[in-house]
Amino acid sequence: MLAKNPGFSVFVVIILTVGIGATTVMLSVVDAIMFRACPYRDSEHLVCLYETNPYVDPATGAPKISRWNFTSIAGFRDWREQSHVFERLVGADQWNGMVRTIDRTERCRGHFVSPEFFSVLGASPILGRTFLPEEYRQRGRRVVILSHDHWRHWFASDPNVIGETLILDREAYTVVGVLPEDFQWIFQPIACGLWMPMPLDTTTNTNRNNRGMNVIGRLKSGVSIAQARMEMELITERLAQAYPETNASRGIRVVPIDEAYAHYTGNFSKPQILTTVLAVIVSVLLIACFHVSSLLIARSATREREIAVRAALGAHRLRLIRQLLTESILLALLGGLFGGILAYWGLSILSIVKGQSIPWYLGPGSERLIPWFVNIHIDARSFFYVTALSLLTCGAFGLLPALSISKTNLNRSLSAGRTSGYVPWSHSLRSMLVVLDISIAFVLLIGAGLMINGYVRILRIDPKADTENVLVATLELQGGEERYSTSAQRFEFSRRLMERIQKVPGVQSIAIANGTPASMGYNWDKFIVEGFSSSREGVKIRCTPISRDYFRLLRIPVLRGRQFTEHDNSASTPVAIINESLAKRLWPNQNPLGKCLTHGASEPVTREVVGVTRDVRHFGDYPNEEVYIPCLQTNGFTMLYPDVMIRTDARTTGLTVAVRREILSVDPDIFIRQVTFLDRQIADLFTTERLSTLLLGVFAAAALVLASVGIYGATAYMVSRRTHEIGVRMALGARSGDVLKSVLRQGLKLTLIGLAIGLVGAFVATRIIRSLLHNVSPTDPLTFICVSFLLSGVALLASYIPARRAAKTDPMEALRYE
Amino acid sequence: MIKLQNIQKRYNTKAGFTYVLQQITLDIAEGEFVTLMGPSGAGKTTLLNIIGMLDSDWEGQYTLDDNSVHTLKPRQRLALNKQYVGFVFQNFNLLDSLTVYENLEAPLSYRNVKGAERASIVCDTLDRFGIVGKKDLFPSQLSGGQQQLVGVARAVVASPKLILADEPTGNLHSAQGQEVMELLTKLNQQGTTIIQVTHSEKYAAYSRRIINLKDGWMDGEVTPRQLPRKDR
Repeated sequence: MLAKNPGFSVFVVIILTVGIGATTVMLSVVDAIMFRACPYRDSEHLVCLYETNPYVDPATGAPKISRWNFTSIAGFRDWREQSHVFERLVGADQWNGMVRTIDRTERCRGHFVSPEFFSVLGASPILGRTFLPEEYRQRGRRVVILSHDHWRHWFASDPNVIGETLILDREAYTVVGVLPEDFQWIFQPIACGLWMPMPLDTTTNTNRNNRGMNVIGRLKSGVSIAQARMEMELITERLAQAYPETNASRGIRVVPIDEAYAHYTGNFSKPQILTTVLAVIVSVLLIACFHVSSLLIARSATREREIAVRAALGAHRLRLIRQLLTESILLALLGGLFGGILAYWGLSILSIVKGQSIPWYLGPGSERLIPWFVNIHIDARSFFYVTALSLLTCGAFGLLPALSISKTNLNRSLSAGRTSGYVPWSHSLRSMLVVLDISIAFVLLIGAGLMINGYVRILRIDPKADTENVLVATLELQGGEERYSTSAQRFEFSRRLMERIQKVPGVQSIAIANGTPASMGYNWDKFIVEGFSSSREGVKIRCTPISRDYFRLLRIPVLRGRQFTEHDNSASTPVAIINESLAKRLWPNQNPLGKCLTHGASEPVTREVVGVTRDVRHFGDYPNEEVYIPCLQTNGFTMLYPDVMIRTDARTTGLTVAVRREILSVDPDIFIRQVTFLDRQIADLFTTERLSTLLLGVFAAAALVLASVGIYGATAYMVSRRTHEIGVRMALGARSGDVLKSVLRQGLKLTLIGLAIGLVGAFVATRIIRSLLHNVSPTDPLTFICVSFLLSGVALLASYIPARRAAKTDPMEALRYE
Repeated sequence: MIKLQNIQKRYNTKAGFTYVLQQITLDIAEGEFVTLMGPSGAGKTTLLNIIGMLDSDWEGQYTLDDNSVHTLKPRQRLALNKQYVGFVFQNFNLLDSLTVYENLEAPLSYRNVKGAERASIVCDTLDRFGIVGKKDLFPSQLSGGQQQLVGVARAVVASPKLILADEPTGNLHSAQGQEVMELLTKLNQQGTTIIQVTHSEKYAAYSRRIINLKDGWMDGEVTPRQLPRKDR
């Protein structure tokens, strides 16, 4: 029977394939990211140790506690020596550097690891060995273990790699091992490429403020986490007394590694986007199921007579059920099969973009949808559930004609006049499904509408600086301790760099700063302000070191006083320029020029305010108050990570390349983090919003199309079933207009009921995406009104086409159905 | 009242034109009761639909009272249909989703009769046909005879001058058929012109003229007296 009706069968299988495939992909991703256990051996006995630290939120001024702080190497040594609850305690300290192989030099992230690190995490090298005890000593042999990915990347998976040399920051290291592919260090946003032994002797790494050590402990058998916490709290108290300058305010947390894993996967991914996408896909799947149901019902209604004839010929009811069930299950299984293939492809594609900014074509934002270390594969449970749902849908609705046989009079079903007429159960069910279609589409459209509304408002935010045609090169000065160890060296680099870039055709002006209007919120410093009541402990204010042309380049007007000049250098009086908001807060109704601000913990510097500028809009939930200080009056440390801003004539493609070339001509070893236009950088801050808007928009559009197809289908079906009735009405004197109105009224009725249900659903659902919305209330009336009109309009249009067809019914043709 | 001249209807098929009606010329006076008879495919129902202005795709001249139907546009023909014609169908064609009362109300609503007047007319008609007790029932709750009774009531509710009945007794047993025919006769006696299509000479005998059709052609005209006695 399916082969006899290929259009119907193919359509149902396509709907099921897309529905099952997309839902399985998203369920698998969400499962991998949010629900899978940590990938280390016996992870239930592993705990992570984090220091806690109280701080004041610069945005709200409220006291808070940061809970995921690493410790220092010296602190780790103390924990190892003093604790008794751990079978072993290991740690890893991050290293960033340049790696030179035979044919390339590139930047890489690695880790120094403590003894027994690999055995605690259950990792054995696939080539070579782990570190020997003597290699952990200071001045021991320089050795390195490679990750599987980097072994493949640098040595093309050469099995003879053991003994090869790598140059790390100009020092030669010998490769002694390669780790298996499935071993991942999950506590970093990018993959760790290599591992080196960490000397733990007490003569080195004594700085307790240098906290980069991520510590993991394996609990002794029979020791509970509570016991471990108790002992670690005692140790922390002892260390606080022993080292009050560095440890006085510190606390300790002992966290099961699975909890830490969930925290990091959440940090390195966008679970909220993923769950929103999942919810949206499930909604679309539901609509797809409704459509399949609707099609099966329509088919059932047309087959009622066929089934009645079969029953009249003596077919047993069970046999009829078996036949219908076989057809339905076959459809669902085909959908499941193709859906599985689609899911496999989808997950393969997602695995490729793992750890990358997604979608890459929207810009190099830092948002990563899927953490690099998550192993994504088809989740069998998800696939099973989704296919089962499809089976249920097809089975239930496919059986309707056989089940209805028991309720209907065979004579009635067999009567020629009746079969082409009104089939109440089919009509009501289809109407109900259309109502559900519309209500789900309404919820999705409201979600998309709110996101679009919010995103449009973001786009309309005026940064209050001229960010157009400003290219920003963000640099990291390599080997800061050596080549750029003094301020003079760093300033000399900046001077030469500006000189070179100025010669690039199309460059108008250059400024250097540590931070741009696109910077979310760093460079906070504590300022003591004379006469300001709450300044005894200092006021935290964003502090941006800038070169003299910064305001001119960004066209930020100086409202009072002056800009910085070349005379504002280390030899002159320290000065500062503040923005309007800060001036109002610190010195309301006073002239801020000539007032003083003091900052710097170890070497306090008092600066005289020489200018007031207009506020620049920074993004992120931070106060807009800001202090600018001349680059030449800083100790130059911040200038290790300069943002070089270049105003250009136009956005020519060659400009970025030319700027890169000039930077490398000044220092070929310099690390260029990125070269991009400032307005693009600002836009990239909203990758999450853009991605969510795009995804929700696409699915809402799909839902709108599906819902309109549903309304069209239901109305067209209703019209086709009512052809005879319409003919009778016309024979009784109904005009085309009467028929048109009657059919449209039917479509409008379904739409209005769907909208009413959708309205309730939208009020609930929009609360879930509240945090993704910017400057838009989840109940924004404009969005609700616009979406209601849009959906009603589309629904009316979808009803109009069959309604017009109905109005053109030739009564004689219609009556011939008799 | 009805004047048909050289009425012709044809379909364009792959094999050429297929004629359903040819050269039909016929006069029917007001108050007549006419039967169209003939074998299946003779064109009876087609002719009835042309007279009832449900079919507008034909050639020839058709005058209904002083209206030249052949010159009217489809919309004007429908307006004329509303003014003159009531239909009775073989399969009753009651609207399944409406009650008896609502079925009777439908033709009046299409004629823009106001609510109060509509109710009054429908109640009168229900009373006249003795179906007041059935007014809230749905068609599926009525017997075939009762359904056709409602069908006839619906045909006359808007007081048409002409009733076109397409095999009104086709789905009824003999007693029910007789009842419907007596009803039509009564309406005819009250001045309504009736044209019916039937295969039964027994029911044809209720009319005053019997027009025979064969393969789309008029095949003579007889009076009931000229019918064989056995069927009368």
